[in-house]
Amino acid sequence: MKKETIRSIISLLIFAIGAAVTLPMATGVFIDKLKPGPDIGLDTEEWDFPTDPEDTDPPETPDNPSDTTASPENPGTEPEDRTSSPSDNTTSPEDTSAPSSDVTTSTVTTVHVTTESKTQAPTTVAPITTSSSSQTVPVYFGQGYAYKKVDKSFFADALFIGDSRTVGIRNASAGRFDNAVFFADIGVSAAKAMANKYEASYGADTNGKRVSLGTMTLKDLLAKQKFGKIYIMVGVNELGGSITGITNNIIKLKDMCLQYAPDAKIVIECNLHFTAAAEKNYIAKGSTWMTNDRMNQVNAKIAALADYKQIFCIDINEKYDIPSGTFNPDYSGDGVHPTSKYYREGILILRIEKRIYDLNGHTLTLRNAEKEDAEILLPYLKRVCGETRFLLREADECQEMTVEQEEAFISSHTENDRACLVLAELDGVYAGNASFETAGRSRRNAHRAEIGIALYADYTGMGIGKKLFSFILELIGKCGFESAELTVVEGNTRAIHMYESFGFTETGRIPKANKYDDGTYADNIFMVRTMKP
Amino acid sequence: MNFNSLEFIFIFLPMFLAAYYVMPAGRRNIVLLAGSILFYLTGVWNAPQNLLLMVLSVIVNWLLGIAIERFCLQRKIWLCAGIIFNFGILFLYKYAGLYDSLTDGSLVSSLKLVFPLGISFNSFRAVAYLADVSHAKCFAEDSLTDFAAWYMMFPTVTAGPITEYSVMRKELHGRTVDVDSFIKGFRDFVFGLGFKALLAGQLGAMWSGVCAIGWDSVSSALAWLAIIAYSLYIYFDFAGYSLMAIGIGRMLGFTLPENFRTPYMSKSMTEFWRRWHITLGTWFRKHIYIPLGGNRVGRVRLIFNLLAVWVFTGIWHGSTLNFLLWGLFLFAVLMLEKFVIKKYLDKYSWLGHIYMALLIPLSWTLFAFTNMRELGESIVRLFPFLPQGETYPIWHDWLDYFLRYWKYLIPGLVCCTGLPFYIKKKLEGTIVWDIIIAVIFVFSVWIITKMDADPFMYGQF
Repeated sequence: MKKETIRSIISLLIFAIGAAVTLPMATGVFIDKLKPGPDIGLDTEEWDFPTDPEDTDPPETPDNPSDTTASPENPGTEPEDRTSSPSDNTTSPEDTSAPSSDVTTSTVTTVHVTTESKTQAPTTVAPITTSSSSQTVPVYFGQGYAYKKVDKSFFADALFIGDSRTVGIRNASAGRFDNAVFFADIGVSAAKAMANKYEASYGADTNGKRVSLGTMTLKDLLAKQKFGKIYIMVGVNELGGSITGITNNIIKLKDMCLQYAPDAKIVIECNLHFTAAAEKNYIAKGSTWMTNDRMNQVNAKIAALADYKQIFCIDINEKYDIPSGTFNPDYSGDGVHPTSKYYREGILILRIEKRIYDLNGHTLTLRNAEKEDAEILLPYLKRVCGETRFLLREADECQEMTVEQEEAFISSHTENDRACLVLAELDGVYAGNASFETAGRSRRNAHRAEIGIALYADYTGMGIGKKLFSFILELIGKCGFESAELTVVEGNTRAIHMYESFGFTETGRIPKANKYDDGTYADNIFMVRTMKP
Repeated sequence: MNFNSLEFIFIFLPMFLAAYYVMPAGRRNIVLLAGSILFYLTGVWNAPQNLLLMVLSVIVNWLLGIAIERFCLQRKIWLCAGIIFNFGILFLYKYAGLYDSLTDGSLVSSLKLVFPLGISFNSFRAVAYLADVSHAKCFAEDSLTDFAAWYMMFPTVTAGPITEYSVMRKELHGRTVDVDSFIKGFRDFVFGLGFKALLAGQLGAMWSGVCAIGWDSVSSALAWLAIIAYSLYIYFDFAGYSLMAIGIGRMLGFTLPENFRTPYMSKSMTEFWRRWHITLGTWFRKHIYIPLGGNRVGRVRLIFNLLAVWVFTGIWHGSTLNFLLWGLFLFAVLMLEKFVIKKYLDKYSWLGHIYMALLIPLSWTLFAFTNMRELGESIVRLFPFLPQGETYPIWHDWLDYFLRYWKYLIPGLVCCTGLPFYIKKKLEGTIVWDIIIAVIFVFSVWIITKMDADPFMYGQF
């Protein structure tokens, strides 16, 4: 054989060896791609959310002809897990049990109200004659919360567990979280968080430096330090697994945290969305499981885990998304992580309060007021003053109030940690509001909350007031006030009865405090209730 | 399909080569055409109408070539028609998006415009073909299948090199295809694969990582490190691709033109553009610069000619503003060199190298950012003497990235030099080189299996 031929054969042989070495690698990848979604060793048994026993009771409200539970006229308003309201007449405190069956749709239009057991039982389960609220636990999804600024000290006992997005928060926090501990790394999943060792460190300071606590497992970290709040955001790195599998792992992680930190509040954060472009890119490259849709499914399951007593769920996507429900591309460089600047801005988010209730088939939304709401509130104020004797002003006096004054009023509540202005909307239409603030400027009064509440006349008598008031009281309790007080005008019997049902008692009156244009008088009744610490 | 994807290396290429080598010489162009159609189809999977566009383009250009030859008295008209056809389509796809954003229209969605694979490169090849026929530099291709095989041939259809029909015609009609072509072609192919998978992929990841942080939160040191990584990335990506194309061409019996000649070793920007994307520069020189008069005109006209070339070069690369700025920046630098400093750069090579070490990353900065705000932020970061604004870089972020990526940065810088090519020249033909090639192949495939295939960067053109 010619020398060249031999050389050629040798070359081909060498190349063939190279190909042979690489062939198994390549076939491995091909087989993986053909499999329906990579399995990450998760158990796939269906996880049944335990249902509240009352879910299955048939409706038993003979004195409530307006009860729409079983009526055929409103089939569209109830999702299948909608329960009846058999317990209108009970006065025993309801123990909120585990979440009801999960909501698989990504929008929630009707949600059940909670009647959380408080230590003062009777107040929360007052018979509500017009509404047919059920006693199941709320399933908030997505619309859980609006935002309230908190002081940095709020995070002194916080632990953040998560993946690269949490790493981003840690690195970009520029001093806002340098007292909170982070247990996060790129690629972390719930399973890994439970098993592996990662670096625990404080958040970065304004120079970008952060103090490390060392590398350890989560269990060690929980043993080492006591945390009051644990924030968890995982899911994106295991999105290839089954949805129930991912949820199971998150539940195990949550349980592990509860086991080693039984007093901590757990806040499970919904995973951030991808930008539309990044999602398309993943799908084009064959990673068809990296979609916002799957992310939303995981997030829905996460939301269902919350009981709002110890387990909470927040969804920051509200702040980062564009209307299509995908991550705002301006906030991200790679479509998967916010840029540092937007991590910092997202960090302003934290305490959140917004509720959605079902009221006789109508949707009642309670939310924090924003400056933009000045435009609804002002005419409301003007109108409502004219509707009733029971407020402080005559109608014409209200006419002079300006938008700026109203905005200022709103700001003084939204920017204050210990004040709140909550708006109530029924089916999206503004119905009324309630607010509280500290009873005085000085430290000596700061432990008392002063409440104001009013509804449009059209919206009274529906149970909105009760929901609104109950919500306000809950917020007042959370803010740590020791007592709540309000002034009600004599003659407003319905309101007085409601306040009494919530535990307020009359402690004094100012006789003839209000003089009306027609010459009549009415007393101001002062009512107070102590809040349990 | 990307050349550095497992599908291409382990499925398409082996099957295609098997069919190609088995066929008798006369049938090879048909096999090439069939394979190229299949290849193009996988590339336009999301927009199959683009395959029809490609077929239309082939047929129209083929007919025009024949028309120019047949009706040589009206050849200028036919040539014009060809230019309008090819560039018209190119303009439409390239600038419909820009038009939409400026006029708030919906041209893109109403016409369902999806940018066709390789249209920028192929329209240039078509126009060059028609011009060459018109100037009697070559005969028009009579056979539709042969023309289609040349136009759509999969080694060059995605992103060049911009081959000239007049040069390839001979091989198109008769070429030697033997074991030797396979072996030599495979060596070049794997060499390019190494550039792309081992260097470009990782450096590209570093670049994306820094971009993900957000340029307003990056320290100056990291900004420079990142832009150097980007410069290396774009070179290894495109040069790697070109080498792979040349290698495949070799395997098929074609001699495809060189596209890169260690451009980062240039001592001036003028020299750089004779060593970077050579086929593009040649095209611009032959079909824009020289027809405009080249440098055989007065100084003013010369400047105008160069300006025209660089504006077109800029906008060919992309329809966003930054590409135009990039073209203008290069024009300004070239003017500066031509009339002022080139002689110094040529005289003192150390000066030239330092000068280019600064200019290359800077020019790529303009190229890299399509978003003007990010471009502004990155420029501010690169020059710390500019007012920085509010910024919270992570402490020692550059160190962090350097420690993570030095394994690719250092070899990257070394491979920019002539060293790898020198070694290749010295060792090619020996068993040692073949073993090296096999090792590069194994590592490249291994790294590809570990990360997602990185769509070839120039493919967006």
